[in-house]
Formats: sequence, C-alpha cells, structure tokens
Amino acid sequence: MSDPVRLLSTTRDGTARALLDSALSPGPTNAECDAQWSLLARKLPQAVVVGAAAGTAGGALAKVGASKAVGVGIGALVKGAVIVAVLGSAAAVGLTRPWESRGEPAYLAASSASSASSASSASSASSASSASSAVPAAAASAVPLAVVEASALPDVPVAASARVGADAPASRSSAARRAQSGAVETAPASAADETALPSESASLLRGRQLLRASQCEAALAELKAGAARYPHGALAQEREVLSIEALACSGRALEAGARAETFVRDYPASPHLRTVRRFTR
Amino acid sequence: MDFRAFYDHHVRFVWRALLRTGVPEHEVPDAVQDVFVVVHRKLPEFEARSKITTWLFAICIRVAADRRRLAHGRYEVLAAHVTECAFGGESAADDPLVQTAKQRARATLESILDRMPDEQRIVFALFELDGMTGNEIAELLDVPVGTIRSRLRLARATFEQSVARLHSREAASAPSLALRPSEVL
Repeated sequence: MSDPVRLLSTTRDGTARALLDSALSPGPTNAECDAQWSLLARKLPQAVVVGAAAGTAGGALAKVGASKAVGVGIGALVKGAVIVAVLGSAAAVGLTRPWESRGEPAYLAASSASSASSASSASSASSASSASSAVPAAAASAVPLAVVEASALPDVPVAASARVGADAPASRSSAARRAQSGAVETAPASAADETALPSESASLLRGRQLLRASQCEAALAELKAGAARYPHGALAQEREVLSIEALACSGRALEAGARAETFVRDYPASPHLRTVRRFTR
Repeated sequence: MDFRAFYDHHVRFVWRALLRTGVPEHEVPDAVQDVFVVVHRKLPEFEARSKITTWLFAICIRVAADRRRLAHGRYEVLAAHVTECAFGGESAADDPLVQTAKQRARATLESILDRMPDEQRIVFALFELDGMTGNEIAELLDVPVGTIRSRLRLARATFEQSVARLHSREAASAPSLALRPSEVL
C-alpha cells in the first residue's frame, strides 16, 4: 500500500491550497542558526571548557573518572583521568557517534547537506569568532574530548608520559617538552620549583576544579595566586591554559584572546596549542 | 563530532519539528534553545536504539508540550484570537496577525491544526507540508506505517471539514471575515 498523493499536488480548492501553501517553511537561515548557537552556548554548562563534555559518552566517563579519583591523591587522579581520556579518545573515533552512521530521511538530506556545508565553514568561522566574542560558544564547540581532558590536566610527569592526545608524544617529561618548545620554554625549572611540584599541582587542581564548577572568577584568582607563588613553576603552561579558559569563562574574551596569542607566541611547540588557539582572536 | 557540529547538523530539523509540533513560529527560536539544552544533557544517555532524528523529534514533542502547558493561558488567548479572526467575530484589519493575506491563511491553518489531536497534526504536517513519506514518518515516530496512514486519513478529514466550513462562511457572511484565496495568492 502506497502513500496517498499530497493535497498540495492534487487539490483544486484554492482555499485549501492557500492554507497549505502558507505553512511551507524554508527553515532558518544560516545567520539565524548561528545567532541561535551564540545564545545556546551561553546556556550550556561551562564545565565543557575543562573536559567534562556532557555531549559525549566519553565526557560522562570523564566526570565519573575524575570524581572517583578525588581523595586518592593527585597522581591517582591524573592517571585515572588519563585513562578516561584514553576511553574518550576511543569513543571519539566512532563509538559514541551513532547518529553519524545512520541514515536520515530523504527530506532531511537537503537541509542536512546545506547545513553541513554551511556548518563546516560556519563552524570554523564561528569557533574563531565566538572564541573572541562569547566564551561558552568556544567552550561548547568542544575540541575532541581526549585533547581537552588531557590538556586541562595538571601536566605533571605522570600525565606527560601517559598522554594520549595526538599533540603530545608519549614518554616525554614536561621538562623535556619545555626544552623543545622554544625560547621561553628552554628555561628549566629550578630545583626549588621541582620540589614545589606537588603543591603547585594541588593549586592547579583547585583552579581546575573551580573552573569545572563554573566558578570562573574564583578559578582565576586561584590560578593567579599559583602564578605568583610559582613564577617559574613546572606547570606554568598548564596554569596559563587554564587561566585563559577562566578568563573566557568570566566573559573577558578579549583578555583571553590576548593571553592566548601570547601563549601561542611563547610556546610554539606546546601540546596545548590546539586548545589555546580556540581562544585566539 | 563535537556539539557545535551536532547542532549545525540538526538545528534545521529541530526548527522544523518544533514548527510542526505546534510551537508558534515566533516562539520557535526559544524552543530550539530548550531542545538543545535538553539534548546536551541527555546525549550521553542516547543508546542508538532508535535513529537520532527519532530521539530528537521525541524531545521536540515534549518541549512543545511543555511550552504549551507552561503558557497555557497565553496560548488559549492566542488560539481563540486566531480562530476568531479566521472564522469570524472580529475585523481582520484590526489585527496584526491577519494584516496580510498570507498571515491570515497561516493563522487559519494553525487554528485548523489545533483542532486535531497532536499525533494527527504531526503526521499531517510532516506529510502535507514537509513532504515526508509515510515510511519516513513511521520511522521518525517509531510507529507502524499503517498507523501513520490512519492518522493522516483522520487529519485530512478534519482539514477538509474545516475548509468546507470556511467556504460556507465565505458564501454566507461578511466577505472580510472569510479567507479569500485571491488575497492569499
């Protein structure tokens, strides 16, 4: 049994035709979609910024992993989170994207195709523009989970050696990475700084947790205090990345953009570049 | 696929779905926001037992229902107003909704669709206005195609009765209150 013929194709009744005709909708324009996204991004949880990406199963796992790790020490947290990042990474290659592998009705194909084409340009363009103008937009157009998760971690050697993000080679200490990262990064941390690593990590972790809880100003204050306390600390890069995110999260997009540009200039080989570039103007 | 890409891929579908589930056109942008906030929260729970569009459409239906419930009084006033304008009782020229012929037609159609049960209205709109096939709608709503055709038949009957009523009013009463196709087209 087949479908009946549509009324618009068959009816000779002018009134019926006019009624149906009046409701044909071209749908939203690209500009409307982008405007909607800007508004929507402000409503999405800020936690996305630091890797608790609720939009993926990996993100959910990350939250579980991180919460379980609290209380068993920083090292365990880092290891647990990195394992989660591995899971997130595996998920990111297809396990959590069932909608991509399934077909859509033909009538959707056209709009999806047009949106996809606009999305690819709009997405990159809007990522850049939204990063400078609206934080959550940048936050919510999340980078792949594993990268966000790993980059948001206090990058103590455990994390560095176990990092799975594409940007960071495994088995490299942060000092070794720093040595290869350019002029600014070549200054090795002092012995005093190295011995201060646990407390520096703890400070960074507090900043990160505040950021995850969307307490952006508090996170910023914590990170600023950490920067004052450990001006040449081993985790300076990681602190700066979180500070940029905290600035953006606080609505100070211009400052975040400026700091991001400085970071890109100062740490040209940083494993965090991908994250930071999202905030450059 | 990050959430922005997901949004870009599905926002037009969600927009249209909300329109077809009875959200007034001027409220669709807000409803789109509501839908994607829910989606963002629930996406990790999506288990791919159904198509993503089916899942999204179900969210749209709930959001549309919630908005109707929360703004019940407002909707009632609007619906009554639209019906009054479409079927008689007030001068069309006094109302911004019906200042143009197209708006009048749209308002009239909305008032007709509002008389249908939600499940019929949705099928009617998706089939007649969005050009989806019965099978596509069945898949989208996750119900048998026979059910879809049955709902469509009932919805069409309501629509045709309403159009007939318009014709009889047009013939019998003041011309300004009836829908004039020549104005619309």
